[in-house]
Amino acid sequence: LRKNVEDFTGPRERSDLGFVTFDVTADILNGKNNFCSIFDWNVKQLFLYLSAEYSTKNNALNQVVLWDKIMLRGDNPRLFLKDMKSKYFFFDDGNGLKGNRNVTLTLSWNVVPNAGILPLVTGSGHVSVPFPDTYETTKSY
Amino acid sequence: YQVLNFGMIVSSALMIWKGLMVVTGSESPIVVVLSGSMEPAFHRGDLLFLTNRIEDPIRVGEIVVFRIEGREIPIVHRVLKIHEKQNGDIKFLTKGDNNAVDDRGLYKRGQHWLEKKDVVGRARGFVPYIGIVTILMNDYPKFKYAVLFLLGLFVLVHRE
Repeated sequence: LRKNVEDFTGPRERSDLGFVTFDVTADILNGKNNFCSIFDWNVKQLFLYLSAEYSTKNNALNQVVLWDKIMLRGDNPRLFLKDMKSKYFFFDDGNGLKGNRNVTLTLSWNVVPNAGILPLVTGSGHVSVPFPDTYETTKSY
Repeated sequence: YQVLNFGMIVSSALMIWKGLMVVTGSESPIVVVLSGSMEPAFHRGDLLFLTNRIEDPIRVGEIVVFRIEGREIPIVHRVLKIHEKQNGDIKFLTKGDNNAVDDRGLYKRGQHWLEKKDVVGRARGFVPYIGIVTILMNDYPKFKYAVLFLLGLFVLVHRE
């Protein structure tokens, strides 16, 4: 699982708004020794989401979902997404994105069974996205 | 004797329900999905099993069941954003998988975030379709009486 990003921040009203573009390469069928698929008979769908986690002066923990996707059983289990823009606005609760070097992006998914337990799994591997110290004033988004 | 037997059944059911409430920490450990806003994961009539333990932190991606202040109907949606303070105070935003926008429009006037107190529980497991019975009983009271009547009949017949 790999993600690459670029970023810049923009001020909106009084809260920081971050823009992140990313690539997602994911192979949901994990092929190790035994080729076991997450999509077994009891898995109806996977709800995938890319979330940014960071700390600010205002809040000890912030998590923002930037993008999500529903992958149904039978859909192509391989993701090759390039230059994706975030689906949801990455607003901070305040001005904590400016100069924040420690924003981590992680891919996670919710396994939705046909019936049974609903586990949340976090993918291994995450990417750190440092935000610059200045605001971007030209909108090239 | 039949009265006692009936009483036993009712009180056992009540004990199980109250026990579930204690174990899960939720005032409503089992809820029925009422809308299609979480499709295709959940459909109207699916049954959800919840826990509401205080030690479990609210994190994005989780499916929470919450009530908007002043409204009775619980809503089942996914957590989209959280901002948590050092002392554990948390405010979060939700969105239905099948909705185009987040839930801000659903919250109370002037309310921008949900808090722990609005949460009924976190969805940990589910069973499809079964809750349709409660929806039918709500929408068609005649059906409810028919079910109750049949249940009563069953208890009586069973005793003999």
